[in-house]
Amino acid sequence: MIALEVKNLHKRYMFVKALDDFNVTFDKGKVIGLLGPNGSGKTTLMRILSGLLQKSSGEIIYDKVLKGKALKQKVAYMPTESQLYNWMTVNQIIGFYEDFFEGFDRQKVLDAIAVLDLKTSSTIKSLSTGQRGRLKVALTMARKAELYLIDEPLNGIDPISRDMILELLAGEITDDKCIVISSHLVHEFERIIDEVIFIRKGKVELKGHVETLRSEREMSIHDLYKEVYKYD
Amino acid sequence: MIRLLKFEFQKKWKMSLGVLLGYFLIYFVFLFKFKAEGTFNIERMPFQLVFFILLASGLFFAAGISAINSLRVEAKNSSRDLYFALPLTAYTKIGSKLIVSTVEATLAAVIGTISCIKALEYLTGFGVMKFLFQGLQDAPLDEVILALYVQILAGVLMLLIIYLSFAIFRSFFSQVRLGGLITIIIYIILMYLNVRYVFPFISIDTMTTQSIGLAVAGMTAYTVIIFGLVGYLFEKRASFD
Repeated sequence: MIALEVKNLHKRYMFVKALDDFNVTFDKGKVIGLLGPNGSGKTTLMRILSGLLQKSSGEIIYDKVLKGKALKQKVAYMPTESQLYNWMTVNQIIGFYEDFFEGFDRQKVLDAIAVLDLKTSSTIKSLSTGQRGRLKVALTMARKAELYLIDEPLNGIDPISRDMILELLAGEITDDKCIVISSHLVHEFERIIDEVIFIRKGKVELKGHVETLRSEREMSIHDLYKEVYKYD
Repeated sequence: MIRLLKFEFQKKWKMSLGVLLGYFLIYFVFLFKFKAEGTFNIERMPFQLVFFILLASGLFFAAGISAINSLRVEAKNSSRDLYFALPLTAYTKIGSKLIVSTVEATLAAVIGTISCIKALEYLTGFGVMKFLFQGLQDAPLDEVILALYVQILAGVLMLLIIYLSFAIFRSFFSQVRLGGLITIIIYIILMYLNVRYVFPFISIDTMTTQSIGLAVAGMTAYTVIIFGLVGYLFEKRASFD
């Protein structure tokens, strides 16, 4: 089942085309890797899909018409930079999500952060980058949404926290949701993604099932990534 | 809306309490200093009075800055990706900020005015408050209520014009650098247009007694229109690059 279809999407900044006639379909029940080097258009796409950025032209079709409040309820976006309020405590930010996002699963967050050895009375500001990274993934995944857009979740994160985040993401996939993860750290993500979309200069360069691509090209996705972007 | 109001108060109460404590610390230090210098020193009285008026104005100014920053910081910091992705309309978000800002500014005005009067009473022994209350009792209640309403509405309108400059920046110039400067330029243009073409028709200062009602209705309608415009731009047009 299609979670989202993007047709002829264009996004133009003053002198740069960030997305250029971008077409893609995201299916439910899959973890999709959105891969590409810095500046390829991954974040721009995610911000447009989450309603934080206006498109220049094109169509974004969810399984039904979604706008405004409904769109923001169904799409859970996690940006690279921490979106959490630094002045809040862990407990307060969990309460904040619970207050505003329908169907938010508090227990899921508490379970996810249980191994982090942090007090819920600690402020967000006092958390390490790894702790904050795991908390924001846990908060996003505890939302009841249909499309999860996770932008560069491993940036600046230590290897132990990386594994925890990957486990958390891999354990979340169900038939009624689609998880899109953007990254250029392909090696880390290869084991949890079902489909991969390579973006170059705002266009889809290559798209396919991970297993199919691996067998057709006889190389790992990591090596394929290097192959695709070797001249950039 | 209630949840957003709770969030706004949760966000602001520590800073507001700090400002209030700072205000009363300065207030009492100088009040006792002036008293010790001599209660009936009539030559220094204007300076002392101006000091307390400026201090109270500072409290009101702080409330104004807090009201502006309430949206400015929200739209600028990385937490905007959470705030503007909340499944609530922009009208609700802007509305909650206006309510909290109005409460904050009204409290600052009341505290500033009462503390100023009390300082004057303490220094001179003259019952200013009693005198003012007598004056208020003689005034028709509907005029007092109307005056208060217009004061609050004017404050809300001024704040909305500032919010509109943020909304225009986010809608049409969000990719441009020097966002602060551009927002100020937008604000100056908006204020010029308002002073030139709108305020003369809704300002009660320029109206006759008969047309005051019309001016207040016009001012109310204009405030609602600006609110709608700010909400629309944040809902449909704003980009957070």
